Amino acid sequence: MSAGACSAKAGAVEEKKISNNLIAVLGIVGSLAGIYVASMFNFLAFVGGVAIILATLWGANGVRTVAKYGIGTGVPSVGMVALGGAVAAVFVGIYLTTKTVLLAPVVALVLALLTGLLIGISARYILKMNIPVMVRCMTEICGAGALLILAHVATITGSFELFYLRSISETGIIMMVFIVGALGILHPYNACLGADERQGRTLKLALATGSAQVVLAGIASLYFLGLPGIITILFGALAWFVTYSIFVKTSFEEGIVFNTGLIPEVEHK
Amino acid sequence: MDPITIIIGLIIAGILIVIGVHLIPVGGAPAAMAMATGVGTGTVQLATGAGLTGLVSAGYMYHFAGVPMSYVLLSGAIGSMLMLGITMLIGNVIYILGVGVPPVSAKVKFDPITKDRQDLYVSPGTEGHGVPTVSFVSGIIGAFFGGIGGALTYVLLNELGISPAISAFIAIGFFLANAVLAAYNIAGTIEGFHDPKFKRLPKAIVSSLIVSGFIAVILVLSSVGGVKL
Repeated sequence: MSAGACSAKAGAVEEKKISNNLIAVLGIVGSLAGIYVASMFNFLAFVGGVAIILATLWGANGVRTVAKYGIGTGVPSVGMVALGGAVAAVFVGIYLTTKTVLLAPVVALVLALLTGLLIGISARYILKMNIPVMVRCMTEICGAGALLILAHVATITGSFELFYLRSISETGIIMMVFIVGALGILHPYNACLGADERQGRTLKLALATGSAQVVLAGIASLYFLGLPGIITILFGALAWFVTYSIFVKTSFEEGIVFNTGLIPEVEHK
Repeated sequence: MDPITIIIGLIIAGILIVIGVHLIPVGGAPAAMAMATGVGTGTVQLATGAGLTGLVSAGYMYHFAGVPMSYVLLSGAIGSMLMLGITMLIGNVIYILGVGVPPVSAKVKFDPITKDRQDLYVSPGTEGHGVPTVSFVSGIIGAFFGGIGGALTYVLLNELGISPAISAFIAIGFFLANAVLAAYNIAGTIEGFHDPKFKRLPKAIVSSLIVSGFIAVILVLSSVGGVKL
């Protein structure tokens, strides 16, 4: 495979760009729907996995958009703020809605978006970071973090009520959710960044990191739900296998082979 | 404890965290290649490592030791200082014995504490390497502030009536949000209080005030304010 052909191919796929608005809508509507369905019946808890994957996708796209500007602090700091800013919002959202439980995800999302907006405005106008997308992306990333925590809680326990949030915290599983969720959001861009980074490829990896989280959520859910946890594990494993193979295939297709200076084998023949 | 005190306390905790992060010598990716002064990792990772250790030691003191609150805060500070001190020490061992560079600052000509000459030992093309004495001392002071901030957050959340596990989790989120704001203000590397970038601190304090204030208000409203939807 010659270098020229590969770069031409990489150039050709460059044009296709999924709009950030579309991903945001998909992330919000898809995740909320997944969270509600997962909390209806225990055997449908695996649908929460879809919410985990879509929230990760949304967050990873936000990280990608903002980190492309070169923040100077590393991509991980952008990913950690997603969960860091969202944690308080999720808990407050669930604490506030003890009367109308169904409102909890929406209230948590709105509070997380507000926290993100404040972080974004502080970073853009007080810390004077010269990044135009800062406000929008910080808002999006915090929102995605809140949906991700809620989706994990719904998948693991089959509910998002205060009681289940307490039990998931007291067993310590929430720490797994925190770190795994942050890594899932920050890893895709962190792994793919570089001059030839392309949105499609990064988002394929985001789908894979989201699916890997579903497997872990399934394992945790064995403790709370029992048998439906196995469905979640199987669903996550299948989704991970499919998305990760697509990502690896894309990486091979878009990779560029450089000759090393050694005489190529072809010339020996 | 009354709600206003808790809100003010949380804002003070956020400001302490931001001050702490500014004092920690962070080298980022350049330091990982021994091309800049500081420990070779990002601001958030270093601050979080130190802050969480402080949280664990403060949590133990708060729940099991039965001591006044000042002891709890101090134990959080000492946990953080130990963690960051060990990180910087081991980092220095690797820089000195592994990479083979002297710990030196490129921002000042003489170390403000030891009065040792610095500029002669900076390798050409780099911005210092390792953790020199002044950065080490600055880092320890930073960990002290960060640890007190983290411990104060945890204690105040417990006082709000939130369960210990959830308090710890929210405290971690609160710590991270403030550490990231400080990291954005530093934008890359900082050597400590002698670094010119340290003068940017007031901006970070204002932004921390806004973000911590918002988080504190929603937390207080939901737990003791009696607001229910």
